[in-house]
Amino acid sequence: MIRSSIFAVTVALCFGTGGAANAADLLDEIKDRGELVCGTLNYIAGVGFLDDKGEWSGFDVDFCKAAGAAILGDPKKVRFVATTGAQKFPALQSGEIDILSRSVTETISRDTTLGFSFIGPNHMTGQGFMVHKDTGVTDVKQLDGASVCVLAGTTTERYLADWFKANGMSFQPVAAENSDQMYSMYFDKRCDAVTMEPPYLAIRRARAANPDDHVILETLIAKSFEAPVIREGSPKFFKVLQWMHYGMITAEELGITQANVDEVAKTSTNPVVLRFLGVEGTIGSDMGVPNDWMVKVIKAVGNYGEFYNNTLGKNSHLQVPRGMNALWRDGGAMVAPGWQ
Amino acid sequence: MRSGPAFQDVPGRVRLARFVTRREFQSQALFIVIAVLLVWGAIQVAADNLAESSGKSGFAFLWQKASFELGESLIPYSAGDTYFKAFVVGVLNTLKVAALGIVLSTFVGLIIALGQLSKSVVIARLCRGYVEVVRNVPLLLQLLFWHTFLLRGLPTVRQALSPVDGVYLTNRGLYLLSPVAEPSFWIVMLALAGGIALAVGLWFWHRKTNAAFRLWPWGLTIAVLPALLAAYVAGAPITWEIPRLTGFNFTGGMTISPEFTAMLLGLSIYTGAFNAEIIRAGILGVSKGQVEAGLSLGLHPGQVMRKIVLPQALRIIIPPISNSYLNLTKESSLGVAIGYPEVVRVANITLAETSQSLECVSIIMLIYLILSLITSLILNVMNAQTSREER
Repeated sequence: MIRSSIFAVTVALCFGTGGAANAADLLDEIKDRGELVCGTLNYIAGVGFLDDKGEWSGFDVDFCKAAGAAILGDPKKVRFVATTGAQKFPALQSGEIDILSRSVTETISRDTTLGFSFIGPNHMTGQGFMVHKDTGVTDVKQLDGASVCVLAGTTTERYLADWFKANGMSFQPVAAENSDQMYSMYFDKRCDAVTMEPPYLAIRRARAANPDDHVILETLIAKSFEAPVIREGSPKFFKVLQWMHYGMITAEELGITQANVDEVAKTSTNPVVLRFLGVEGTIGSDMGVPNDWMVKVIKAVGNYGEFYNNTLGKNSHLQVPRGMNALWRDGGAMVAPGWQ
Repeated sequence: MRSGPAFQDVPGRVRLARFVTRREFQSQALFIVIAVLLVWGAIQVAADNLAESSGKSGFAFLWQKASFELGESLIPYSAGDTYFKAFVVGVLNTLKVAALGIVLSTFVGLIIALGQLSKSVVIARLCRGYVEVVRNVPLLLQLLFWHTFLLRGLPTVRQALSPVDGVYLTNRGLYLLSPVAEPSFWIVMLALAGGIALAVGLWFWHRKTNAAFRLWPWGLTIAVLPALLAAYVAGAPITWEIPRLTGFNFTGGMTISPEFTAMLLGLSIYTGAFNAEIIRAGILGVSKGQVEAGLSLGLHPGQVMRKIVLPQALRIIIPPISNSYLNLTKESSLGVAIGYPEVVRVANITLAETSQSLECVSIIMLIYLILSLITSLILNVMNAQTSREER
């Protein structure tokens, strides 16, 4: 019996920190640990990428760097873990990682049945198609009977089946284990079309031998709002991340940038700005982070506009337009509640 | 057990033996109890943790609707069917590639083994080279190679290679004519069954009476004639459906996908190399005297191989080759890497949809366990039969 209880404890440890994690808020645990563990991608430049010098970069990576800056005061205090499509949720559920920032599409079933909390969404896009120009296809409705390359185990695979079924059309799925394989099959004409979020399609088209031979169809068959995700049950951790996301948007609204944040903190007389940067008030410490947390975040990755443009947008090699990800006042969908 | 001086003291010996067995029994029982408790504890803890982390566990999800397509299937399947059915499709696809792979890899193995034993140095060296190269390259790489080779090497759908009308070779698969049963199909089948029954009757009669006529031409005629007559009267039993290029793809007819072909090629060529060594060992294990005796009886070398060497070699071959077949079946799970919709691919996509990872992984484990047990059962029976001939 003693042996069995020892074994049970071992198994409990193996199967995750379930009990321990639930007792305390993850925010406190991370502060004690002095390190944030972030599950992300390591192979898509601009999104999540590990380069030959061991440096991590990209949109999903930068979110975690910002979180490291907010909670621990240093974007370098983040350990990145490359996760595959199939093991990304088990890794989060088991407690192997604290945040999963891996272009995960937020859906109701994922939010309500998996025991997750989504932050943001911080990247709004949809599911589209890229087709070979010589097929003559200009609209998604012309894809009846086509072979479609799709990434296995993603929401795109599900939406694809749902959309064709809803429209009474048929297709031949060609599933790939990773996106390199998927695009290589598409370029080899194993399939007529490939389905993914248009920014990623644009990334691959830009790298094709003849970018002009491929058309990205305008119609989106599903919306795909991507969000970093954490385990349920850490309300303080969740609030910090959620308001960090809002804070980056607010910084853009207030015109605070990576370059001028120190200057603004010193010279501004605007009470909104002073409260926002933690020069006045105790918003930060009430949440369990330093009062100047947003200064650290903006210094690490910039405001939302900079964050987007440096990784995916006009300052990157990808040149994906802001589109829906522009601020609400510029006609986009990025909003943040007031900082009072 | 040592008997020693207590040799005649039978009751004492029995008592000792009983004591020992009881002690052994007790320790064994204790061991089983502990093992059961450990497993039970592990399951409980895992279930508790799962309940805490996701709130969902159990296999009820199998009856929910799966919203994904699988591409190729032996039974009709489409998005909206249950996860259970999707798993059945996966298992059938695994079985399809494993069964064909076992047959093909045995042929490859036999040919390469005979080649290695060939008197021609060139053939022997070539076959030796094949074994060395193929065995030492990881199977996953070979699968990726064949898949890429088929996609890059073959023409696109619009430039399909068509050696014969109705047969199209493209990088999306080989499209073939497929037989379609007509109403008269069952009539002709019935006639054929009757014909075969008659032929079997003829065979028995021929054996009994030793009638002076050649069995084969007559038997064959009697077997086939009723079916031919029925087909003539009732019309052709099957028609051929021809694949046609409509829109993006060929429709109609039969499709053999490049993923399946790559799997079959990879598994057969890889396992074939191992089988070749097993078969070679089996053949060399038959003593040389047997061959010489056969030759001195005036048998042709081919006959010696077929009638004397191979049946005896089979006894040596079957146990190790059953391992090789089991490996092939299990290695078919690598199909997930090239998108062949076998059972692991179904489990992965179900896992992504439902996030019930422990359940999905245990389903795959259970399926492979059952498949392996069935394979080894069949081969054990075969082994028992061939061994019996040893007397």
